[in-house]
Amino acid sequence: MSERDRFESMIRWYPASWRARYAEELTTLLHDAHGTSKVPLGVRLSLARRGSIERARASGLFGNSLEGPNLTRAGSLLVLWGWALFMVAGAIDAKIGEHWESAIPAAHRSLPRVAFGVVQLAGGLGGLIVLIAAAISLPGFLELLRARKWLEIRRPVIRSMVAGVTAIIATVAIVIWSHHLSPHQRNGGFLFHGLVFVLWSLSIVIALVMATSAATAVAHHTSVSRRVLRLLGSMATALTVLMLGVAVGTIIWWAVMADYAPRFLGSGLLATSNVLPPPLIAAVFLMFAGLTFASIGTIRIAQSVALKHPSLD
Amino acid sequence: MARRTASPTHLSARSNDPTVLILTSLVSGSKHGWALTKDIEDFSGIALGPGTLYGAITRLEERGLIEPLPVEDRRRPYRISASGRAALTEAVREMRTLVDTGEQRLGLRTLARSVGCGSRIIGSMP
Repeated sequence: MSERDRFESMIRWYPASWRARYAEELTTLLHDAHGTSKVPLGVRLSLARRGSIERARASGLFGNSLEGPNLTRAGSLLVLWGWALFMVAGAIDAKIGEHWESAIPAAHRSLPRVAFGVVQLAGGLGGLIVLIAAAISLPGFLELLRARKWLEIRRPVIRSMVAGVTAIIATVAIVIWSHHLSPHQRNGGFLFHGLVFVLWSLSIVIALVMATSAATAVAHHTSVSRRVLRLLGSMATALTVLMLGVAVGTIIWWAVMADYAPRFLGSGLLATSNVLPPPLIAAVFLMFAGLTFASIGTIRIAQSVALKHPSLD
Repeated sequence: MARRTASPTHLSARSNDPTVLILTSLVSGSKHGWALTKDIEDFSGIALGPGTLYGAITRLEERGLIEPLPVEDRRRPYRISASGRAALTEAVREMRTLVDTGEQRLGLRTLARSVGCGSRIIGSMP
């Protein structure tokens, strides 16, 4: 690794837009300060921390450095990251909620049925919105390829494709294998199956993170018209409302199940025999984290509209 | 407690604030990253790390308080802008007020005045 590469690897925490502007000066400063000697751990940690702060600012999480179309784009991407967290939470939720209706007395089914229905409907509509947004953004992506800018987005896209194919293969394999097991073995009675299930879940989470990361990289390199950007911003706002619906529906469902069918919540993988099962707590935590990202993103989109930046008019 | 409204050009009136240190250094002439680090260390004793320095440079440039100059041998010098000078003046005045109040309340001002007066008397003696 050359001297220059060594210093460049230390500033990888900074966002690409920041590096395009300051990387040369900062690596030269690091060279002036440390030359061929070892860079102290404190300096490297400081660069990691500052780089992460710049990345958060560039994503619109805080600060006022973005405006106009960049603010709308950043806001929409924050909502997308929030949705990625919701997908993970939704998968946990779906696993826990399998066959829940048979566990609760018929007289008390109506409220959780409505709540669970809201979760499913909002989740389905949210997925549809993301697919439509991807389809709307596709021409911009193809334009990017035609303009020979593939090298700029190659890494995240290839990583996402590899993670996606791995997750699909893992899914097919675990489905085939699970069909040869008894319901008891599939639901926590066979430790090895439980471990494989956890690994499969991890592959899904990694694929999801990689896909969102690739979408973010592509969005930062794609030019879309003001009209399309406004449409994507509106869709992101609708997605945030749906996420709120999913979170509220989940909490209502959980509360009713805890009241009328507490044994149901305490069964299955990672059974705890109480009404606060760790997987469900994790799912709701992920939902609130996702909702926080999405809310900040929606505020950013609203700010970009309220600012009436000339390029958005 | 009443807080002053933060404007984009308002600087924190703290003598160890990186933005104040950078602007103070640039008042004496344009400098690039390494020269800024050395100068700041010389006049304040504070060693700014590269991450902190460039975090502050980014904010100052965004707010129009400093201006980048053309790159010279991979090093980009910066100079203070007119609004940067005004912001630094405001920050220094705020610090002056704080120092004055502190000196007055600690009785340092009377002491300093007496010492100064005594020195002048001794100096004027034949």
